[in-house]
Amino acid sequence: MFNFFDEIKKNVSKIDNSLLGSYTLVNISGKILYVEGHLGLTTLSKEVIVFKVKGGRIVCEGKDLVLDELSENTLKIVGQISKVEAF
Amino acid sequence: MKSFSSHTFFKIKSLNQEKKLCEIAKRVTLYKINRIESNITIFEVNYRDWKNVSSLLKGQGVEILEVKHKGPSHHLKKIFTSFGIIAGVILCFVFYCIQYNFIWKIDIFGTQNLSSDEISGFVRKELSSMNKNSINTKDLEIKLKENFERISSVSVAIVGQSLVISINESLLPEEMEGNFSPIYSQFDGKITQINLIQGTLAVDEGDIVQAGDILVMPYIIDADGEQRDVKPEAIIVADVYLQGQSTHYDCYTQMIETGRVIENAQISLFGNVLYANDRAVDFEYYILEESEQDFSKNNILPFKIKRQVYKEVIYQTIEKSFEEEKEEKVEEARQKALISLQENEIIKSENCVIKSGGGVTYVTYVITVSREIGG
Repeated sequence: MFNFFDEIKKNVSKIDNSLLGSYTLVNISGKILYVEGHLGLTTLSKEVIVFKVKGGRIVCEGKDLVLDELSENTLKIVGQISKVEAF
Repeated sequence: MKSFSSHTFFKIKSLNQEKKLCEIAKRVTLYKINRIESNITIFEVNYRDWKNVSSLLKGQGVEILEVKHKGPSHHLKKIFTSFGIIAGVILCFVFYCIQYNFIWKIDIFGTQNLSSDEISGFVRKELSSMNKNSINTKDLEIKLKENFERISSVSVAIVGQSLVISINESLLPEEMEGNFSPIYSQFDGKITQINLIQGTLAVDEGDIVQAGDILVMPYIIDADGEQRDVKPEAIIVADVYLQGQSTHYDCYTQMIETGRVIENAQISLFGNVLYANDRAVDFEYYILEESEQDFSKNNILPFKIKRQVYKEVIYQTIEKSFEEEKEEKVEEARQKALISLQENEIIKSENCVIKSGGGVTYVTYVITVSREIGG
């Protein structure tokens, strides 16, 4: 999967260097949640998907959630996403 | 994952699936992960990764409930594996059909004086292609007859993948071959009878000839005085003298074995003597017989055994007059002469000549037979 956010991060790293190793979330119309830089899945169900990121964890809540794609550092959640929270 | 790409569907049953899926995801990208029950999850992977994922799951102690393959790669592989034998047979059949149209070798039969290689080379040169359909056998037969004068008849046929050429060579009469050789005498003798059939005689009746002498020349002189070559033919009979000889010595020394024997042996390896049985030889006169051979057959190390056999002999001086041995010596000479006698040959006469001098007597026995000596 093309990781274009790395390029953006490189550009802004002059301002905040810690952004380079951090995560990226993209929520598309509440239907797709694209994540870069996850550190592992902790909960998987149709209602809740939780995964670790640098400095905490992300909770994605919704309905009929499917983890459409999972690789070493990216994932894509598809379904009716009602809430995404960072802890 | 593209919808048309091949993929494999997994249904697994396990506890703590999140951790295990993350471990697999570090190596292989997982798609459409859906937890359908608390401990049952379904997901997909690329078809090319399914074996890898399967072994990873097993390594983690995950129970695989179902594996399904979808997509063209899987179907192609299935075709190639399931129908591999059929595909192989079809390929072989196709190859056979293609190669069956070609000639692979040329078999030539019936050559005696002609060279098979020469004919084979000519045929290969004449054939533009080894394709069966392009070979005109009739045309090839004509060309062979035209180019090889000695071919009387030839047949060319395609049998299987061989081009079979059967040749009948023309037989020239000997007169046309030329090069006749004369009739030579095969034995020493005195010619008693000549019956000339063809050729020119080189001997007359009453002539004494030796083995190898020419009896009939291979030509005739015609009425015009010209020499013409012919095959010489004649029946020439001669008195042939068969000789046998024996010699008597009035006094001679004879070596006699006493029967006493001393045998020594040596066993060696690469020329180094490992064992030797050397007994002293106290014979005044002896004969030494030596032999060397492998100690045993199928031996990895080449042990050799060398044997030396000393046989004691004594020398005895024997004095005997010819008269005492005359009959034996004459018979000995006769037997030697009879060796040369041919089957069913009639003896015309027998003579014995004895010559003495210096304590030595020579007995020569001569048997005269009538024999055909040439032809």
